Amino acid sequence: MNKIKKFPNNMISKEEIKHIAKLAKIGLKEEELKMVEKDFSKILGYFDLLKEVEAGEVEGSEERGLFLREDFCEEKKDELIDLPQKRYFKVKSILK
Amino acid sequence: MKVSDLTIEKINRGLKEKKFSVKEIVEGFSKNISEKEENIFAFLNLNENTPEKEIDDFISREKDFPLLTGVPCSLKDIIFLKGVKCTAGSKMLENYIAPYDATVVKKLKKEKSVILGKTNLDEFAMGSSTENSAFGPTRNPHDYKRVPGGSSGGSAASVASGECCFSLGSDTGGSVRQPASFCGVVGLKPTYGAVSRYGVIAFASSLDQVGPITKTVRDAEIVFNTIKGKDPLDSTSVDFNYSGHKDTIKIGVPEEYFVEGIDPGVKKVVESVLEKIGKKVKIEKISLPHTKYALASYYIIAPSEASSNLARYDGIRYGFSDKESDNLSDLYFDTRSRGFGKEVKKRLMIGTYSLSSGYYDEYYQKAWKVQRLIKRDFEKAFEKVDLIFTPTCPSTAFKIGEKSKDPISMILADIYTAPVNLAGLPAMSVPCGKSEGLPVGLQIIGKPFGENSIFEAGKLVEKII
Repeated sequence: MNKIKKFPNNMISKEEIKHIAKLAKIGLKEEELKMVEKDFSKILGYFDLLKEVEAGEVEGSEERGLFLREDFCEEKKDELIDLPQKRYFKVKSILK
Repeated sequence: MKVSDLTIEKINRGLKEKKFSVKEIVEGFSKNISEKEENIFAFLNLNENTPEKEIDDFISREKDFPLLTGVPCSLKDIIFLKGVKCTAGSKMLENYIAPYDATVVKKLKKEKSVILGKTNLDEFAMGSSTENSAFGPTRNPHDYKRVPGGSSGGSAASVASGECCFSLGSDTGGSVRQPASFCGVVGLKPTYGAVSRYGVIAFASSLDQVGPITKTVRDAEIVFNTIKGKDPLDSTSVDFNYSGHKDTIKIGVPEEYFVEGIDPGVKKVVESVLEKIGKKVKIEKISLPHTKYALASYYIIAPSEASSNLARYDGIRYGFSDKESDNLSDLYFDTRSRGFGKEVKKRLMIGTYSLSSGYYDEYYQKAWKVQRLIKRDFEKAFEKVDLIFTPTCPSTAFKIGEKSKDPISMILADIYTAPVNLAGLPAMSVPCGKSEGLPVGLQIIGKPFGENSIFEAGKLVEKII
């Protein structure tokens, strides 16, 4: 079951990694980029296992269902997060 | 008094018979903490204001009190204890103070359990060794050179070393059961929805469950009965009437869990326990044919959900914020780059990749289809048997640093536990022997909300070994 060597490492380009990092809002240093590139290829290679599975006949997918409750309002004063400015968040400028 | 030998019921009886006070119990565990922490590093933060005096006063007034009254415990540092730091093992939340109690903590406080401190974990519960904590690795009480497992490694080590009576951890792909197995203690992952996650920092919401780590099966049962139940603040939690259990049970053993990849020593221990159990209970071979795809499915679903759950750490609303950033976009990048550790960044990237356009069908959708096949495997098996017995992990505790270089070998530590999370089932790891001096865990998997049957079987295992 743990035979992973037979699956070739999927190569992923540095550019692609940079793009994904940008989407995830993570900046990577050059050495981190190298590490991620290496690990990513190995992990994607492992994911290739899933290609073996004939899942065509599986109807849809089963993500966890929706759980709805009645809408109501409950006061939770003591549980409020202690905001630095008490009533609002202060953020950096969006436009340069 | 040797507090490390005391179970919950022994503490309760002792307090009722006035053999000792809560103060003495807490002092006993605190002494163990001060002696052992230097080597083990199970705790990130110790609670300075434990209420043992109040509880002793309460006990002197009341004839009857709950089983957990005065019983010292620890909490994985991903569970909110109001007014106390909750770091999730991350620089991102290094100085974050929990603004309220998690529902499970409220339930422990209602029974007057004594919370001694918050325990170490892999950052944001992502890992199988507790080496990914931003604050340093926890060591296995059985061998300081080895990992305690993870991600609830601090919790398991704190119980195994006698630093507290029980602990609460969280389990997304094995994070309660695997460290319990490595440290020689009991760890339960309840059925998905059995326990509220309100006030527990989210990793992968369709898989996360809070569960007890204890010295005995009976202790796990007591803690589970305290923390379970519907909570309006966690919409996935459900009420369930856990009445009784069957007296004559049939146990299934999946052949896919004993093939290559399992350590021969672990295999030998588990097989010899199964042989002994087979003399009392009917055991039959079963097949869970999609087992080998479970980890790939898990390592797509969990990081995908994490990439969404951890989007909230943006430098504005929670914890760490890079003060030198010039504008909002830089603030996001700088905060997340400096606040998150290596493993978390990697998993967020895997999740982002799996969900990104062009790969969504190939990875994320496919992973959920495979999840369904895995769940069906279990459903089919449970038509024939009442419980499924497997090893908890393919190996015993590995050495610190041994697997951190190869991402796949670390992933494989969860190979027997992650399928259970995908199927939403309850499962418990029970110590069942040792291989080369290190503990081996037996995993007992039950039907949805079949916790009672798991406890009965677990007690049988304890008697047999």
